[in-house]
Amino acid sequence: MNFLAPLFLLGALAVAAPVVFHLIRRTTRDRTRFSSLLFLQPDPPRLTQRSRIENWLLLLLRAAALVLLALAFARPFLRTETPLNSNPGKNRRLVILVDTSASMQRDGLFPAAREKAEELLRGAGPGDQAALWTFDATTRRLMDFTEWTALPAESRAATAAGRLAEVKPGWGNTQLAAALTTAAERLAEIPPGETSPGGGEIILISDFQEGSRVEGLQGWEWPREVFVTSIALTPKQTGNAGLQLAPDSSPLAAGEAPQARVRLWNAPDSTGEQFQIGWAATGGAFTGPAQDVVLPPGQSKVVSLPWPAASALPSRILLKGDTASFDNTVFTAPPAVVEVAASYFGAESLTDSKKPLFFLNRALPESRQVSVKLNPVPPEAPLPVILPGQPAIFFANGAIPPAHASFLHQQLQSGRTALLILSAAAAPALAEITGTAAVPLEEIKPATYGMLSEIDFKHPLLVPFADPRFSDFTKIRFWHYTKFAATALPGSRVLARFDSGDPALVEVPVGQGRLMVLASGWQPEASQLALSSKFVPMLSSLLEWSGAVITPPAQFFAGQAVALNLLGLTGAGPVSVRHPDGTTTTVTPEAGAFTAATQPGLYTATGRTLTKNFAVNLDPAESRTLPLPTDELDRLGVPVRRAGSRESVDPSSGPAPAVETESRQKLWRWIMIAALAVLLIETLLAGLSARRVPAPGGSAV
Amino acid sequence: MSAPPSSANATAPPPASRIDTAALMSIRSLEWRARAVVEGFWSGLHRSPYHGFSVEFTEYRQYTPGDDPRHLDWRVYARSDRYYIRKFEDETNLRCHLLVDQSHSMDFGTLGWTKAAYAATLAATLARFLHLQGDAVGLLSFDDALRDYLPARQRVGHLRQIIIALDKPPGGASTNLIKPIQRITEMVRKRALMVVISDFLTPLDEFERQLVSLTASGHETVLFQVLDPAELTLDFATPSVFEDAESGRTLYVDPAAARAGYLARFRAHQEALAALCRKLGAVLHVLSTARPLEQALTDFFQDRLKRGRLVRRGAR
Repeated sequence: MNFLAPLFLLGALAVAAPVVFHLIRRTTRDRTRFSSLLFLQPDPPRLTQRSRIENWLLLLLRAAALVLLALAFARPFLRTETPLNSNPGKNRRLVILVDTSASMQRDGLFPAAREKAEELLRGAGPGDQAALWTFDATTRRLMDFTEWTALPAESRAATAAGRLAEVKPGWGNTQLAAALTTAAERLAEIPPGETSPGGGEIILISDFQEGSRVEGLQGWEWPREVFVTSIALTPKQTGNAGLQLAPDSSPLAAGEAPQARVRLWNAPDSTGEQFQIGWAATGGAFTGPAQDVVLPPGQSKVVSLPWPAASALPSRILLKGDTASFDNTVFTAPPAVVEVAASYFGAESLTDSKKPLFFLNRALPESRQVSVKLNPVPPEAPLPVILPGQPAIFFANGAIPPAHASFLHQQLQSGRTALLILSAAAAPALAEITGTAAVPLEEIKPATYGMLSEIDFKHPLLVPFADPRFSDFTKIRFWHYTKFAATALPGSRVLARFDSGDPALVEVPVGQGRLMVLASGWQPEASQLALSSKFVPMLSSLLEWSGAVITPPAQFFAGQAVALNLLGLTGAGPVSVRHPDGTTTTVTPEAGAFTAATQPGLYTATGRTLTKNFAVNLDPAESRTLPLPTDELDRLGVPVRRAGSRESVDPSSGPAPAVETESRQKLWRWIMIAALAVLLIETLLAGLSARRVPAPGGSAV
Repeated sequence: MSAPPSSANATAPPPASRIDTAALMSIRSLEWRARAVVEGFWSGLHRSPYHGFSVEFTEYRQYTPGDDPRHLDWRVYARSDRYYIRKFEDETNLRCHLLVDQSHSMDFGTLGWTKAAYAATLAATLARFLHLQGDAVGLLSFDDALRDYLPARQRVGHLRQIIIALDKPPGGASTNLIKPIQRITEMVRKRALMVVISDFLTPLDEFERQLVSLTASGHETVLFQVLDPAELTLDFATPSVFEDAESGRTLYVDPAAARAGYLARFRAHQEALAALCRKLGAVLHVLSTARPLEQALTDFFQDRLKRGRLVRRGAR
């Protein structure tokens, strides 16, 4: 029998306690004050008689209960041969997983990892199957089982080690869960020519930093045949400080200079607290005055750095004073404001508070990254100039001149979006814009008011309102609207209807673009839409969905795929992305995303008409370099053996992990039941014997 | 005048009419305890077959010319049409001295009150009763030395002083019966009633000599031996180290084993004390602290009733 916590066996020494207590207590503790010792004779304690154990059975029961409790706490288990080792001659299958995440760039960690891996590779026997994988944000197979077995036995380790020697830790974050599950799945596969899963061992060589992503293991059923041996590497110097961009999305106040906001933090195990932060050039020197920051260990702080007025060249912010420098630089693209041209076709004034234009002018969203310019286009005005690729959106109210309608038709054909407020007089314009035959229109004035119903919350325009908290449109009343047959417009999709069943909002595809037809105006004279809380979100949603407004993220993380549509580069044609080191990658429209952003820096994506800069930074999670709690993987159901002994590193020589065996056998439960039974018998016996002893008491005199 | 001291007397169950000892001893004021006992005793007298006895019976004598007319009992005159003079308290000639042991050995009790408290209540009760009867009462308290001495008086406020002296906590390293008896013998020349209240848990050799001198001086001597029930039976359940209340000496005692020897020696001591009293004409009352005080008083006065008049007559 073996024990998981043998120190608890010392608790069995408590058996001596009742005996010693029995012997000691009777002789010395009790003192009785008596009036006179005149008639009492010296009576030395007769230990042999008075301390004689009177009830051996009770004593034995109590001792047995204590021993059983100590035994249960020691978590005993019986060594049994596990299926993995049932056949001593069976060859090992092991996957050596080497962490190449950014945190492994710390002093000496990766060479140590490589050394460990090489040692393990050299230790593999001729019949063993080994695989050598590395992982950070993605898992890479340097050598798999098939290749290992295909190579001559004497050159396997050298080949694998040679490949590992070419690897350097990258800038990706630590997707530990993904790597472990991939490796476990690989080991759980049924090998060719066998009927049962091969099983095996994953030897994980990592720094096990706190920022490792292990959430994916939650709820993942770990294969029974696969075990993990962890080899934790610790850096020579602990502590780390890092920085992270903290973008601000609120609109710039008048006269406010653009600033880059950076969040700094200092790990709890750091020793330093004096740092400097500032804009830096490529060489690592500050290009301007640096800010001194005092940040005690375990704390964080947000620092604002004004953008240098001169140019957008210094695109990196540098932190100095930290011991681990791998995460001390963040890159940020210069602040760029996207200007959206919004054209409003209609004979209205911006100041006429009874017309839709008045409300539209106030409701169009604006932020630090987006500026929407509303351009009213009266009937007599010339057509607006919209450059190809320029973000633009169109609004039209009722009857508009045929030239304008034709212009809109062209714009929609090229993929843009327009919204038409319908009125009875707008029939020719509608026909012109959509390119269909005239649709009969009829002004409807409900007896009381009309309300929206049958709203299609699955449509991207209305998805933001799908949440039950926001889906109540009943408070918006429509005093009058224009009735039309949506079916007369080919390909149209009704997004909302009035409670009378007439279409309220219809999407009509026109060429590559689309026309949104709104059957009623939003001004108070027609409806309560402009005054409701839905109006501004609906406009924002329209701008985003139409593609007129694209707000790219302030930064991407190394290893992350950069979707081209996030950059507003979804137009036809390939996109060329220039890396920080000057190399170029071409992304086809079919690929849809740029996946080679493996190192931090400022990237430049050039489409047919547009050029966008975007920053790629290190994942902030990678800067959390505190060690992961040792039992974290155990908690997530991964059977882990810690390295440190020969036995744990060499899985074939030892039996299955003690924790796993013990948790399977659960002998402690039976021992606890036995202890409780003994205690129950002891209680009954003690109660019986107590009843037999007459109660002491002074007789009344 | 032989005393009937016995533990049989001491262990007799209290009559139902008596005030409960525990309730009595829970009264904090010694004066009120004494008052309660005396009043209970008086009320008990009305139902008692021993109606009308007392230490000194107040009496009347016929008026003779020359007597102070202020002392005429006008009520008697109204009933009988005869002049009677009411005897004054000053006219009593019984003097009682209470010798109360206040040593540490008395500071022991297993019933919730100590022997010292019981003894003080007994002494205060006697003092109050005698005071109400018009007798002069004095007090000599002692431990290993003399503590308080109040000469026998029948003055207003004297009883209060006695009670204050009795209310003092026990002290002293040992019980020394020799000195107080020796001292009282020297100080009190007139014959008097000497009431010694103690546990008498002390060697009797020297005590005998002093007691001889006391009785030889013509004093009527009554000994009240106050004992805790535990001292009568050594009824302790577990072995322990026994500590002498007076000297602090310790002794490991297993009560079960030591009980027989203890009781034998204790009985021998009691018999020797009783024999000594018989020999010297002193009266010994053994009182367990569990015994109601009224009963103790009744025993005392019964005994005095038998012999009191003789003594009184002799005193005159």
